[in-house]
Amino acid sequence: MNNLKEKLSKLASDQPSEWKEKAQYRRENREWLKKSAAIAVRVLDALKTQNLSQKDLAERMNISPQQISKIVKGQENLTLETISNLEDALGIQILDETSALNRATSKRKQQAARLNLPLARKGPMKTM
Amino acid sequence: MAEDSEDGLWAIQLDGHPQSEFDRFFNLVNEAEWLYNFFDQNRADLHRGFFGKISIEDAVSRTLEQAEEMEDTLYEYSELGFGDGNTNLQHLFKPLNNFEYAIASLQKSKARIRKGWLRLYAIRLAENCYLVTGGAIKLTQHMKRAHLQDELKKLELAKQFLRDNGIDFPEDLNSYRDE
Repeated sequence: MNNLKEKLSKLASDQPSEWKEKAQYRRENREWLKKSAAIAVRVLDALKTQNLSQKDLAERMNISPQQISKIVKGQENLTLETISNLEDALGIQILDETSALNRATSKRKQQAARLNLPLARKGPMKTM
Repeated sequence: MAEDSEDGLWAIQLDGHPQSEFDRFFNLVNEAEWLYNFFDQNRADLHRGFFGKISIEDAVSRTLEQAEEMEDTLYEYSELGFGDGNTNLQHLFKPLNNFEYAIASLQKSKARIRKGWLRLYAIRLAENCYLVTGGAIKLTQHMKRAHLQDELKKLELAKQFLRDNGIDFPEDLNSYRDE
């Protein structure tokens, strides 16, 4: 073991990084996670516009504030029922009026289909 | 980390924080609520036109795309064990200062996406070994915003921490403009 690695290892935490597992999960669930994030942004926008708190929304939907907190993080695999309830509680359309995120996803899918390319990106990241 | 060499990516973990700054950064830039609040609070910079006038919804979408690209690249580097000739971290990280062309030991560095605003900040320990100190969304050309100043402080703290723990190299002659 070389000197630098030895010195770094002595300073390292016993707790390993969880990044790789999380990154793998995000790669495998990318398309629906983007849709979940798009819905979260629409909900957050509606809350701000209507001057409502997440607690207010939880009460309107008769669910816990913790559940709303999860929804607005954009990482929940939402059911159609939950989406429909969000629409009713906030008086907005989520499913019909697709967001920029969904449009972006669709555009990528269309391009990939036209070119017969995989959706996952490969190749080195450009830096400056 | 590669198993049999010093190649790889390390990250700092601040006292009292449950995760490293690298883990924290990628968790945050993948979280819709955090991104929405960030762009809401930095609306003036977002609308100032450096990246073109865009909505918060679009800004969140762009950030998720950039995070995906950055994370995918690092994931692939990690899968290849950082040892492949094409996965040298020095290809990703560049000196923090845009006008600094020499690569040096313990150099403050950044990784970014082309035409993007995501930054990963790190200290260069060796050609293929970097210590990540944090990351940020950089909407301005300068580093004056509080969240970017915090990143500069962490870079400096990390550098001092390394020196205090015997990881020191001859000081390079570059002057940092911290851009």
